[in-house]
Amino acid sequence: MFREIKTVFIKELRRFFTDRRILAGLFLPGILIFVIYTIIGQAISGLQSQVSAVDNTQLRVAYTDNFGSSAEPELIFNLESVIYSTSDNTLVIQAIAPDAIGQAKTDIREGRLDLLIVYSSGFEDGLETSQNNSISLFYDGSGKASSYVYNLAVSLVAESYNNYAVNIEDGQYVQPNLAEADIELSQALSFVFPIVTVAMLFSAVMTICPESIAGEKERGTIASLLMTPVHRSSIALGKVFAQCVAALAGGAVSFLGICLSLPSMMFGMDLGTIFTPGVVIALLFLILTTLLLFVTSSLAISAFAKTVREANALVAPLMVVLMVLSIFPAFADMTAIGYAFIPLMNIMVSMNMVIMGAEVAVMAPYLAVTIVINILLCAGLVYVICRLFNSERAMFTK
Amino acid sequence: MELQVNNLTKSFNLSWTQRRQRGDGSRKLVAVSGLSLALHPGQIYGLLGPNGAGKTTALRCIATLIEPDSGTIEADGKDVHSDLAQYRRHVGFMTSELKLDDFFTPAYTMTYMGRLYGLSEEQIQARRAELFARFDIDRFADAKIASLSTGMKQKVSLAVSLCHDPDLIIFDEPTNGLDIVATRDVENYLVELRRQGKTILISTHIFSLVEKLCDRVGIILEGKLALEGELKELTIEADLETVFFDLLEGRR
Repeated sequence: MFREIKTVFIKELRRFFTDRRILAGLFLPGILIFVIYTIIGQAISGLQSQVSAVDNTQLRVAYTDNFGSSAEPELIFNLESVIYSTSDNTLVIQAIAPDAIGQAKTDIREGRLDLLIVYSSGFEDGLETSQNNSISLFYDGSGKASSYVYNLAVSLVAESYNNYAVNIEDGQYVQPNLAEADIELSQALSFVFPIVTVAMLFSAVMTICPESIAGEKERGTIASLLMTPVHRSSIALGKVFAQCVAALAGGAVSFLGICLSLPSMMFGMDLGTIFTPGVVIALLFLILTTLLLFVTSSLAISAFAKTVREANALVAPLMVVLMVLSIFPAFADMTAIGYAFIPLMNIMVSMNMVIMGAEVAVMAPYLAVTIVINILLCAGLVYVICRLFNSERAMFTK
Repeated sequence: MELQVNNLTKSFNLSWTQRRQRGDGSRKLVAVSGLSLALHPGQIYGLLGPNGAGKTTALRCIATLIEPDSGTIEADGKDVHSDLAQYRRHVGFMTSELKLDDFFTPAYTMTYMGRLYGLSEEQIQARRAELFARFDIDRFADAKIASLSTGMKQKVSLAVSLCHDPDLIIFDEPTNGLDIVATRDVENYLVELRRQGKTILISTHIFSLVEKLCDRVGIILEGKLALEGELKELTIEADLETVFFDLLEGRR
């Protein structure tokens, strides 16, 4: 039986990886995702600085008094000029000693300060010699006023100084956003990740699966296949495994595209704090079983459909259902264990919980139920596919 | 292979549209009813009948592609359904319709089918060399099937169907849609196979083909075997075409 499954498996893979159309369908989405998301991320980043303007607000800025000149720093001067000439905001400026930086950062987190400018010692004096001139700007990314004054300051640094490095201290980049960035990122990711991942996996599945059995029926090759002494469940399993490998390859490229483009989408934030080894392993199990579920359900539809067109038409609504389901976790709390028994919905909620870093005691059973449900459904669908292979009506009716 | 078909019956459920079109209230269509045949090695049996008479259904039942409602099929005295895999190893089912994956080469298609029939790589190579040489496919062995001419595709289809050197060859409408060169190739090959002692069953509605090739003939009308016998016996008084139409129009 293993030899038969292997023969069908190799033939199917050979088909996928020698057909340019299928290869394009499998791998192009991942490449496009990377390109599109990177462009969108940069566009949003650019827009952010434009749309976050505030009016009639008191902007509180502190700077370290070690900048090396007795007069007001050039940057502060320019900041005042721009704010008073282009808006009705007011500016409250405060010079602080370098040892008060910690307190100033706390003030930013707690909303008492909007921007902290930390100069390296003797910053303005060193501009001529261009040695060790660094300037760090700290703000609260979740605050509108803070973000506004930060973006304004960043845009004025180049105008104010030459020979400097921004947000580099001791050769290391410092995170200027003092807001609870990981939580923001997790929230954003927990919404984006399930939708994008499921969409990518499904698009890879849709490229190959509907054609797999319905295509053989259309071409008439199914009769030759069914005339062989090979057990029909071997044919079904060979096809299922091959589609999984191909879809996984396509899905992996899409996933890579997403991962590579996320830093742009999330404005350079550190994803390492969210994608810990535990999270990656949990996601891997979820993605694998989800993929298997998509493949088996699409193959069952393909075995049932008379033509490739009919198979495509029947598979497409599944995608719509998934997209609708993916929105639910953002609006309703579906983390009760009972929801884990609802197929497809449980996948979305599980991904959401994993990325949000839900409590292990809540997440682990939910995840386990989801994976078991996925596997059981896959087994059921493989049984259905085998039954359909034995059905004259499904295989030979045109 | 000695093949004995006893009282074979096969019906299909009619869809709602089909029922409406027929208008007789029946829910089932009896495609084959009580068909009995005996096939012997070194003999070509021709199943003759008009379109829709049940020829293809009968052939598909005998090939085990579909299961009959009742009746038995015995190969060398053994019910074929008792060991389907073993039976299928010795059966080649062919149609003149092209049933090939365009994106593979003839060489790979042959290898793939050979593996599914459980042949060793050496057996596949040997069979491929023999059949490709026989049908002049060698030059195109590594070309994509999509790039081949229709005639060459038909030859490849035939070679692939025979990759496992079957003892029983079932051929549905063997020359339907073939060009004259391919038709002659197929006819010659069927004669060659008969000489090798293969058991051959063909279905057709072409009288000249039956007269040229078949040893024994069965005329099937509305799913039932209306007349059966040795070709020579059936055509003592009149040619096959006259016999057939006499039967069809109730004069016999």
